[in-house]
Amino acid sequence: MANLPKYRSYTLYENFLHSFYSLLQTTRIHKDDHKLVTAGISKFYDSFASCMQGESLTIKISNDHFFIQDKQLSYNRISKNLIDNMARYFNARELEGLKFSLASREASNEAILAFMRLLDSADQRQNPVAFLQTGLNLKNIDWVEVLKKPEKPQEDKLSTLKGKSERREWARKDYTYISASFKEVAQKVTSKGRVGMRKTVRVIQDMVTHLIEDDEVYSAISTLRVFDDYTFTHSVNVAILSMCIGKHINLSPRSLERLGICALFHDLGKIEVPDRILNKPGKLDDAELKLLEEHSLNSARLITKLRTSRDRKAKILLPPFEHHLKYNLSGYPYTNWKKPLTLFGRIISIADVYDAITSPRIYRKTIMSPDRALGFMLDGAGKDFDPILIKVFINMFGVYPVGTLLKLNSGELALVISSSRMKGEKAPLACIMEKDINGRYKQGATVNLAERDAETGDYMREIIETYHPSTFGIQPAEHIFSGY
Amino acid sequence: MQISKPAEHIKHSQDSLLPAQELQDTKQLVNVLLLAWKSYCLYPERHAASIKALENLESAFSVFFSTHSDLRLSVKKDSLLCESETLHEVSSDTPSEDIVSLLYRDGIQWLEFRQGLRQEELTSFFNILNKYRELEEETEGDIVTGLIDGNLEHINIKAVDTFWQDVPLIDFSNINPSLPETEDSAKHIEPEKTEQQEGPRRNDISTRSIADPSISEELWEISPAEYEELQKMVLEEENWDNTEDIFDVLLVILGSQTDQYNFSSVLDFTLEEVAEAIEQDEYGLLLNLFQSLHQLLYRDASDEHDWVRLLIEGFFQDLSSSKIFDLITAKLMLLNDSDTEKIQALRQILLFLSPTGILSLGPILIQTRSSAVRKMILEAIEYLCLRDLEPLEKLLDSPEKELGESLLPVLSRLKKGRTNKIFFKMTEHPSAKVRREGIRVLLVRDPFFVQKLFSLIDDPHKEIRKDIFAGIAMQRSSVLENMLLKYIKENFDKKDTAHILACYEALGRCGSAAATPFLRRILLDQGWNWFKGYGKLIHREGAATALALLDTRAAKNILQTASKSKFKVVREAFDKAMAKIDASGEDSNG
Ligand SMILES: [Fe+2]
Ligand SMILES: [Fe+2]
Repeated sequence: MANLPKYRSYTLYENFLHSFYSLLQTTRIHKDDHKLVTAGISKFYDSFASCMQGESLTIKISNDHFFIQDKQLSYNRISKNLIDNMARYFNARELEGLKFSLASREASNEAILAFMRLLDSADQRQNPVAFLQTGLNLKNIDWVEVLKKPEKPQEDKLSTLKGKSERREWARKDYTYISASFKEVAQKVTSKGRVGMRKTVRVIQDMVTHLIEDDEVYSAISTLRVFDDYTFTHSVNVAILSMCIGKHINLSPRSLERLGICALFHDLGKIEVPDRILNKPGKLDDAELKLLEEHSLNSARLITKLRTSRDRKAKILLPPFEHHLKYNLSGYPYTNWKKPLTLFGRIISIADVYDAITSPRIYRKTIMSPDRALGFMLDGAGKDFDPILIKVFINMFGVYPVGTLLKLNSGELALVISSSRMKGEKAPLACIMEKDINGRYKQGATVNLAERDAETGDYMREIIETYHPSTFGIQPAEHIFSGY
Repeated sequence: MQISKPAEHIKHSQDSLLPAQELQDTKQLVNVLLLAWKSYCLYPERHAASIKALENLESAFSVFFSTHSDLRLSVKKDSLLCESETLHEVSSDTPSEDIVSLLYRDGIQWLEFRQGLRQEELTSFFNILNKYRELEEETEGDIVTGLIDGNLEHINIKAVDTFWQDVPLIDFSNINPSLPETEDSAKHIEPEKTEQQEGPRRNDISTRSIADPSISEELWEISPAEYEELQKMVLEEENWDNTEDIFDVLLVILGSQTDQYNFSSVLDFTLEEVAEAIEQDEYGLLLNLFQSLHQLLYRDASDEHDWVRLLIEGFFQDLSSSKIFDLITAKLMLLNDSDTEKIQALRQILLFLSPTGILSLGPILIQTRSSAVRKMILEAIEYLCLRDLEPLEKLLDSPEKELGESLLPVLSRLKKGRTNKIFFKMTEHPSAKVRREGIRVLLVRDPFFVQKLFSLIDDPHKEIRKDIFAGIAMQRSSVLENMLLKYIKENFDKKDTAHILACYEALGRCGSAAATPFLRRILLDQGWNWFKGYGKLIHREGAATALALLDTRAAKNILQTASKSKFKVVREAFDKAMAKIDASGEDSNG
């Protein structure tokens, strides 16, 4: 009886915007000759040709409205995501718009890709528009004109929030507040009848706004490991990681918020499991295991006590129930649940396992480095995890996820502070870890491990081993965050 | 609420960034906004005054936007500003009612109305403000969450977190990632030696790194088809109607609960979901839920879990609250004959509910235009009555004729048992049809009931009076005889001759020798108590009829006397009575 979703396809202009945006995303991940890139270009050509009328084609943003050839795109359920994404993309580059001339039709694939890459890298620049204009001149690209955003004093607008230190502060605040609101809910849910969600919703909504702007700073902060406060830190980390995955698959802000909330509460049921079981060093006996395994069902049960809008509650109830069920439903709780996992359930399962196996726990003698954790999880694709989402997760992190401790051929230890998301490039950005006189690790120089010797073409520094930073007593978040 | 200062009086400061005209227009607009909020607070949402206020506001905005661009208003503790101009100050009398105080309370720093603003957005904006005008202790949200949820295209806000100001920000350098007691050993491990020497946590080297050259990148490369698949997943998620899944998971949770308190709290939530499912017309799902809950009811029959039964029964009782029934009623009213599937599903849902629901269902019988809905409701009522008749009985207290009549198909099919009460109730119903049906059923069940129904001898409806007379005539009864004698004596002055005759006839059929002296007097006596009706021809005729029908020797003697009476009026009465009896084919002389 459920209403089937009613889709409509994109309009001509939406389709152009979509092909443009997808191509930007694809070129960010893949090499130029990748079949996905080639397919993306021809899609872009086609949609471009069908929109082109007259001498030029202008796409423009004004007051967050999108215009193609001065026609405002309608903002609705179908187009919303696309327009939001595109608006953010333009805002981050201080662009008002782009004007393609007729000659664009003759542009080579290489030129189009060069343009796309230029555009993509502009957000890191002091003056993105000037950077773009210079870049286009250098590459002799004259079929597209960059339109600069008119100056408008908007001290508060998040889009002008560019400084990394500012973003770091946002992330730190969000992390602190989310922890605090989670602790408050966890305390109240056992004692009170109903628990208000106002504060949680507020902080998560804030975080969605910030995370859409920059998710890397959040992946960085999610490397925080707190041994004696595991459940709380773990919950916040899983919320952050889930939302990062969500952002990478283009979930709408509203969905990101729902995802963040249910990820945050995925282990809420653990507050009913005695600490002696949660922290038992040895193996759990059958009764203890049974009690522990009840936690996912109990998370869902406790969520019914949270006072929040019906729509929100309905969306956040199921995924915590599912988070240990596994993709092939072989996990627990052992009921006769036969439905495939929801998208949020599949996302949280991935974030949950990643954070859990990269967290030091008393009952584990060994700990996996983040890159090994990804290798381990890839083995579970299709069984434990959604095979496509696990790929998204790996692509999101790169092969040396932020927070991986590396041993270099120089004998130095280095902590990954930003994984490489460059196409075809595995080597990340890392900071050398040096010991101070007290034997404590301090942050040294930041090195780009992708750097190669100009003559030999070999890497300047090579990675010979990876560790989990806790093996060396290193708190990754501390260093990554100050190095970010 | 009072607007503290008329905007006109606020001075235009020298260094204002706003041109004078724009400032003037902004002030005017803000005044309209404040006034609109004021009426919105005073009247219900659908009240003409509220609607008018919103219309005014919308037109004020369109006038404003015809010459100016987006409007951003800064919210301060006690005032509303545009650029550096104060447009409104919160009155100290009733600060809590001021729109500015509300916005400030939830940490809103500025509020922006953008070109293209529509009236429905303003309505939603006011609704949200109103919803969170007063915050409950454990509130689900506030104005900020409401506005973000509402996703109003042309109303923007910027808010700061006001709850955690005092919480110190997390300091990573103070947090130990690993076991405290082994911290020292960690510090002293030389990186070069770690492979040989064990740290607090041994590095797990048994698992292959994703960076290992033996793992091909193709294994985690996302193909075009997978990209499309991802996009589909997202679309599905965002359009997912999850009611069915929610019910299923709730049942799993309920099924696994061994704690009474937890069970009951999940049932509370389920009840909320039920209301929502009704709103969404998801009757099939509801039916499944109810059936499954019923199964839970009988799954564990042991006394130990008697609370399961009690709680589930309580749940169905709660389901029958007027709140839920109001929802169902509203839905029923919208259905047409063609909505067969929905009607059938609702029918089955109704059967799960408590008979008290009959009180809500009854009125739909006369309000609905769909005969299929009417038929379904009658069936549901008939079924629910089997469990408890009282609600139906109560429904008959309603003074509405039509309502009672529409219930007749159910009423006349009520089986014996404790249902007599309801038929007696029917005999008091304003509708003649209903009264008559009540009488009919009762007299079939027990002819003696006519004694209880005697007062209906005066029913305004002729057919009913006839039925009562017929009921009386069915048996010889001294009780009825006395009742009739008393009635005739007290009603000598009645003008309705047919009624008078019917009384005598009935007396003749149910009476005995005890009535003879009275009848004799009426038939034969002369002149006394004239004013009370004695001596009237019609009474003499009636008495003659009654005597003939009594068919006793004494009666026959009296009749003989009457036939030979020297008074014409007596003979005439005798003749008339005999003629009527002959015509009706009854032989008075046996
Ligand atoms: Fe869990
Ligand atoms: Fe977990």
